[in-house]
Amino acid sequence: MDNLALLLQAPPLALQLVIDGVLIGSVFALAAYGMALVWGVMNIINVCQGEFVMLGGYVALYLARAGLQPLLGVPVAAAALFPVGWLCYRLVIFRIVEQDLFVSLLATFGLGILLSQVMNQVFGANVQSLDPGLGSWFLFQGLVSVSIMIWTVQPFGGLIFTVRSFMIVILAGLGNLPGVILAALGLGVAEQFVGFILGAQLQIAFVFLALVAILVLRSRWLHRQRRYLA
Amino acid sequence: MTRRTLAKALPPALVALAVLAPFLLPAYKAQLTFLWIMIVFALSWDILGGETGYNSFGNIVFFGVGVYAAVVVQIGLFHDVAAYTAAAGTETLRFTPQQYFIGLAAGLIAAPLLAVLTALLLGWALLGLRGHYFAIATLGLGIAAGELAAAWPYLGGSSGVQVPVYPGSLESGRLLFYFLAAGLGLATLFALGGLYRTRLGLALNAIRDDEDKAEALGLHTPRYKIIAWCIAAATLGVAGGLVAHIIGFVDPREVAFAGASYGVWMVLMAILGGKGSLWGPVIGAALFHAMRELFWTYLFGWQNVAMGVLIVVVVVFFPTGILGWLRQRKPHWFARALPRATSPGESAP
Repeated sequence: MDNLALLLQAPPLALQLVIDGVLIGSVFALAAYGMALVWGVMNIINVCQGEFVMLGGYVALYLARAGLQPLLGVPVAAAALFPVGWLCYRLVIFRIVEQDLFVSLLATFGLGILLSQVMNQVFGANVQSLDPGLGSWFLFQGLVSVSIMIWTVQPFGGLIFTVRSFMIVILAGLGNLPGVILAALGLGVAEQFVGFILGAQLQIAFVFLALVAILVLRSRWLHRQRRYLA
Repeated sequence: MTRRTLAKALPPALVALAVLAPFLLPAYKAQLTFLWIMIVFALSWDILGGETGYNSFGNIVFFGVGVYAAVVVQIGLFHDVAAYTAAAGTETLRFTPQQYFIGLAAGLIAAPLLAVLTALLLGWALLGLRGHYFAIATLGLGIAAGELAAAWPYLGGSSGVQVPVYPGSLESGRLLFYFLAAGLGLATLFALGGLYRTRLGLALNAIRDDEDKAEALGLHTPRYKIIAWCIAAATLGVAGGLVAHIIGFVDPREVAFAGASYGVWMVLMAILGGKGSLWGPVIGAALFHAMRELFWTYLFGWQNVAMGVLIVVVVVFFPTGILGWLRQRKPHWFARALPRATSPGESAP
């Protein structure tokens, strides 16, 4: 709550949070598009979407450390993850496409656990981050900074990404592409504000609780209440 | 041996085995205790999952509520909880044996009560969701509960809570908690076995098979779903209270609300054995526990990877579980004999 007072005292901090939120929200939008694509085409909720994001992050991170120009790391990571996705499909997904949604949920969850544990073994459990040095801009006498692409990855950061993508897709609705961007940016900004005011743990709790709240509200809005003739 | 005599002999045999086990295999007391806890996990998940068709990834919430309830009540009866958790482990509490056991009993009563209360609240909010939305919503709750507990200073925050130490020898403590866990496991097994034969069991299966039709027939589905979840919550609450004392330390994300580990494994255990049956989850829990111990011994670092592989393999290749696979291969093991017709014109009753 002290941070809330700080926010009210220094409005440019709010601008900082909005900018951070928009930047991270655009990453959420990318992840959400992937989930929306798989969901719409195959009716599979890909719970290991977040793990793919983390894997891409690790690939780009190690390439940047090895000396590759950081911006080039992005398409290379995309190309590297393509065969990973193909392998997942060939081994697991194509067997569960026909079955009901819960099977695919549990199977992709298992796949997600598998991937995150492999990343844990191979890369270590620490949070790794890299500043690619692409430059930052400082506004309002240093209160606001805009930096492009600072990577932080950790092996178990996948699940929260999956939940964010799922929330964005539900909010926007399958097939609503501009909606995905708006929902993603909104979520990013909301998350930054909650994280600043209430702290990091409650930021994570906020993401998951927002998911529950959205699902419950959505189900009420769609009038799925059970009413009985008394 | 007919099926009837087997069914009659099994309960006493099981009780005898449960009572004798810690003396037959004294070196494995801890594993046996956890085996009973795993059985309780799988059986309680199956009430809502296999029998009612509402797959919940968040039953761990009730386990965690039980953990914290039992510990807070036990400490709170004789000491100041807030001061203890604020000291974050630097302060050791003194309990007389009498205080410890009264606290333990009070905690094990408070745990299921609080868990059932949570189930009533969550059920009212969430049981309107269907299918995969319910699964993901409960998943979100499970993880959120862990983060909320980690952010609550009264419960010790991220540092967790040190559980009061058992006043007695290590061996007697292990034996006590083994029998408590076995008691819980057997009580759950027999209670559910009886429950599934009543109208409640039929109602739950009706909800699983086709909820809309069940409602059209006049079944008050929300009531039955909430009852099922409350039963699951009660058993998980007691299990939580026991595990808190067995482990001796409560960590909000690893012990209490271990959503991504035990929360998912309870689903896997029930599916592995065959969800929707009484013995399926028991078999699944036993097999899963054994496999986990083997993985830990032989694969150490890669055991969790092996767990992930196991989940994928079971879900993709054995969705009906071991009992389902057996039912296909050996249907006559599951057959019931019908009484003979008394004359050619009459059909069997």
